[in-house]
Amino acid sequence: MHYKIKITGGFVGFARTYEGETDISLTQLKALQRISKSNLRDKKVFRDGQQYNLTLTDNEQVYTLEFTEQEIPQDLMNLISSLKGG
Amino acid sequence: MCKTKCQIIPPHILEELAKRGNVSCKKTLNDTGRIAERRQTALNHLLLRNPILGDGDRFVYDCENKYEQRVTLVRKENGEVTGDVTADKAYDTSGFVRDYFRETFGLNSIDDNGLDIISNIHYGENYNNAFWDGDEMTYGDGDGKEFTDFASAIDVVAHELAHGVTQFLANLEYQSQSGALNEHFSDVFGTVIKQKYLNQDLSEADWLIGDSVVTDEFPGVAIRSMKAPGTANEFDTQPDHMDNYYNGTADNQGVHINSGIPNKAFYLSCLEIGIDDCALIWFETLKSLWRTANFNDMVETLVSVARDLASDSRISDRAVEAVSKSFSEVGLAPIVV
Repeated sequence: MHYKIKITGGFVGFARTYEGETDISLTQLKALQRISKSNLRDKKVFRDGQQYNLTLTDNEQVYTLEFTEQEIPQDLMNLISSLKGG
Repeated sequence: MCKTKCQIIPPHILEELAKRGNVSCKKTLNDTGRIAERRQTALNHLLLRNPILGDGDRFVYDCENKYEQRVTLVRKENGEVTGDVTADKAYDTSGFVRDYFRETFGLNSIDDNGLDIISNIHYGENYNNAFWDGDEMTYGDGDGKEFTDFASAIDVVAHELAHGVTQFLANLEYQSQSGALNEHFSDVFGTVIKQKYLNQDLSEADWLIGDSVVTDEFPGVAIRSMKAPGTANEFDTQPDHMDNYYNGTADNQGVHINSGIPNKAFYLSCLEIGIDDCALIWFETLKSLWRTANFNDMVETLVSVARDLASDSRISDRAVEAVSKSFSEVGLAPIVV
């Protein structure tokens, strides 16, 4: 599955984009869309938090996930980390 | 007869029924009054009670590369050195920032009530960011390719901690111009404290923000430049004049972008009257601003604060002129000089 992550905002400020292929399964993707959110979600005053825009393309099907720093599920952060590091 | 149902009846109806001789309604009315009085007394006591003052103690937590805060406490106030460079740097730099605000402005920690200073380090994996979440600071290690160790950078730590100070003083709304001012104040105290930490004078200072968190592979020298906004790296789009003001919706309507405009004015003001006078003017201005203040509000307040401080001989008598001139150069001329 093709992925494209766009991370905007944060202390760094400018947008960063990561693109490539991942072996995430459709089941895993669906699970990511459902799983619980970050432990930061109750924080109301947030400064330098990032915005995450993740696009996954599987043949013709496009899945888009958008999160703020407070909302993003930890499992999805782990996925993004592995994609950035890979 | 009213009985307990009287409690949901509006007071003016209860009053009228009581006047007509309804004892139950009169009793309910009296009870309601006593409860309201007790509530008010309790509230008054709460407001009059002195808040418990803390000492601004430092706590450093290792997130162990998880996306969770406060995983393991590795160092607290007066605790032993850990041997983890990032933990010890975060401890030292957050202490330096706390002491700067205390010794320079008499501020007792972030909230002026001695709030504990909590730093979370090693947050996540390859995490290229640092943030203030309303209570504490959190730092990533960077991906090692373009960014590295956010917690070890004095200007980053001062920037994040200053977000806390701003929250408790002006609480500037984090969008559009008030948000850009929020970012601006963090960069101001980030660069001032960095210069103090490095014992630099104006001629030695680089006015860069985040220069030590970018690697050699990063296409630029820092995240931002207060001296020359828009030149710190290939992606730096910060304007240095209102003519190039960013009107888009990204980044909470450009909070990290349009902060370049007041940042440049701060740099120019420092060249005129020095960093210490400017730091005092900006700090006192932050105390006077409000949640929705915009760039023009900021300039007017700065000029007014500078005038008061100069008349008390606490800063240079050229301050009003210097601040006005600096902001005029970035397209923000004060209405009254």
